Amino acid sequence: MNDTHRMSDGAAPVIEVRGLSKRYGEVTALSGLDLVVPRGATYGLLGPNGAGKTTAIRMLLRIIEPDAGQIRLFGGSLSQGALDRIGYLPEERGLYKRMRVRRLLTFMASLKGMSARDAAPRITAWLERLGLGDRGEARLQELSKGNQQKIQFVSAVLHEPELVILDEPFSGLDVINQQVLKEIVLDLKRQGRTIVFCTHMIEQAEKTCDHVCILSRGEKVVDGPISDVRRNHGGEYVAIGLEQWSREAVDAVRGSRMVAALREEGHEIAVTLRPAADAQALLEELLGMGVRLRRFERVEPSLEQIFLERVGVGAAAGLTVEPEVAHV
Amino acid sequence: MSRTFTVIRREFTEMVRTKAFLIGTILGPVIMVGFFALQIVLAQSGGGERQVVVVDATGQGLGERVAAALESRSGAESRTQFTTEVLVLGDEDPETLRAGFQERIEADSLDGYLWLPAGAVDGETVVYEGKNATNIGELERIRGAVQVAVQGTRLSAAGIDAARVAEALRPVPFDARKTGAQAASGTPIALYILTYILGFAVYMVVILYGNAVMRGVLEEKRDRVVEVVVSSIRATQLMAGKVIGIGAAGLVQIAIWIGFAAAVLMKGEAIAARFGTAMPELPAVPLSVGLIFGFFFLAGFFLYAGMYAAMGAIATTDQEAQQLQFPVIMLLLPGIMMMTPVLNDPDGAIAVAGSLIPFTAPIVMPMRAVVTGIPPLQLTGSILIVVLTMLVLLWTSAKIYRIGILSTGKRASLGEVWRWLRTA
Repeated sequence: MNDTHRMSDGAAPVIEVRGLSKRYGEVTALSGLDLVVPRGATYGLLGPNGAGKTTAIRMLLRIIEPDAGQIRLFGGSLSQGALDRIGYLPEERGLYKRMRVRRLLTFMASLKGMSARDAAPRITAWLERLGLGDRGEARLQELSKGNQQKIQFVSAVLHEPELVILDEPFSGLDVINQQVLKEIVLDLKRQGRTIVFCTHMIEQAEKTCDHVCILSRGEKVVDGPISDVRRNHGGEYVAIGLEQWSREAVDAVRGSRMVAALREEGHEIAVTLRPAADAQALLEELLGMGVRLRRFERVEPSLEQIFLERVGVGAAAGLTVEPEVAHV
Repeated sequence: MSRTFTVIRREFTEMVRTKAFLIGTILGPVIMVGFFALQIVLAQSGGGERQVVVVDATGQGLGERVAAALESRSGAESRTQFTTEVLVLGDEDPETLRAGFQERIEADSLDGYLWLPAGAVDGETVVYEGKNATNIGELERIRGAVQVAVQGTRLSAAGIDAARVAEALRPVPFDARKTGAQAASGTPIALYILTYILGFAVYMVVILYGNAVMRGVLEEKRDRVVEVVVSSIRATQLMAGKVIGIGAAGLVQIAIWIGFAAAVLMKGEAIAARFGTAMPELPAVPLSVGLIFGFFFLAGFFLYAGMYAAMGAIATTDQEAQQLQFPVIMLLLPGIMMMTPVLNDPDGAIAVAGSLIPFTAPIVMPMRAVVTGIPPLQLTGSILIVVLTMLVLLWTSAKIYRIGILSTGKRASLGEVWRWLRTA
């Protein structure tokens, strides 16, 4: 880690937001958001498209002004110094296409307060690491789209930020670059940096993040460490694997009085039990009906289940559980 | 400030590295030199020989007098050398003669013929026919020769010595010098050229570099660069850096041109001598004129560049940007339209109004400074109005810019821009 980074405010949360609100005309983009991102966390800011994620991020980065609310970064105000400690990969990506790679990266680093001299060896190291060592003098527009994306990642992390904000990081990426970005993120995580994932791909965030905040229609639905979110959500969940899938067997499960909700996931069925229902009793009931099972397991709820139950299916439109593969 | 400087440096270096800048920088002086060279070449052109038959039907020797006047080049601006043959009309059939002349003209052994009818001295129309009848300069020479000859014949008939009359009517050489302690002094033509150069310099720089600002903003927005940049610095810093950086590139280009012009002028005598002409007299320009030009040049650029940046932020395509810059040019054009009235009456109502309207002042004020001493109150008023307008426009543009650069999809309506202004 860069030894010039100010770590004196070590105990303070990296991001602390109180009552953050933003309206665009008649539309409420964000309403009274409270948020705390602890240092070193991998934090998922989740929600369907239009939930207010990007609006929140843009206010954190001073790109737009909030109508109300307070933002504290690294225990201090939203200052230029604080912004210099953040790396940002926006959803809408792009670079100066006519600039040469090294000049561009030097420019991006100097916007973060780095001198050209300090940036030079880091640029060399990153280009080497990504197999672009010989393309430093090429213009951006001469690179393939995939390589342009790599340069974009480098521009976000070149100044070794303490906080990295990635807005829909995997959208628009080809498979190779998804892997490159995952490795960069893992590296950052190992170095103890705080990472904020802003995404509508909830399943992927679930695998990567240790903290989450789920937004819907500009309001927070739930937040905290994932384990707490699951534990506090309550209810019992069962994953059922049928030995042989049939409509009758699925209907038999659905027909049970103990089942509150059911969702088919391929050949498996995710079941939410009614309050006070017993999973053991459900197993006996199904066996009694002659349903043959391959798997019957009590599980913790997925974030998606929690989200669906909190806000309903309508609000969840636009939420993706499978990673999007790029259309590059 | 250091971040703004980072943007200034990027805008400047990227601008001066473009082919357009290189070509413009080289082409500017080339066009300048080419323009003046063309003037010299044109002034020297038309120096051919013309073979003309003068048909004299007057019986008063008019043909000989016309021929003598035509062959003499004294006082003539045209370099054409006329050779004449005089034919005193006797019994020949005029139509046969004309047909013969036409044949010779077709065969290129004759350029034309001048027909002096019997009543030429009394006012009958003299006719010239020839293939050079579209050359205004040569026709003027022929008309002048006939005029002199006819007048001489009429004077002789009245018993007056034509040579003495000509001597009495010889034109008086006349020259003029513009004087004034505060304004520039020199020959009218030199001052005329200088005022136009200054006026058009402001106009061209605003149009060319204002456009560069607008295209730069649009490109950042269209290529989605802007969000990353404004996550590191304020949008206003980005706009300021862009305007100053591109403006600085424009200044460098103009400095190169001025340097080139100065170098040419230092060698002016030698260059002029090579073209067989004399170096024109240069005007004397006091420092105050240079300072006024410098101020209004910069203020004019910033005043308009802010508006161009806002237009770039509102537009989403090149075509939209071109349409949006139309109202900006409409604000600038009256300044160009005022150039002639301002030169004719630099202290008149139009000139004073043009100085106090912030959109025309950057063109009008440097012109006035060249040709008149601007009253201090007008100068101060103009500077204040321009600076205030510039600040208000930059502030307004920055508000539009802040939101415009992040809004994609379709071009914002006037209502939306108004909402941006209120909410930003």
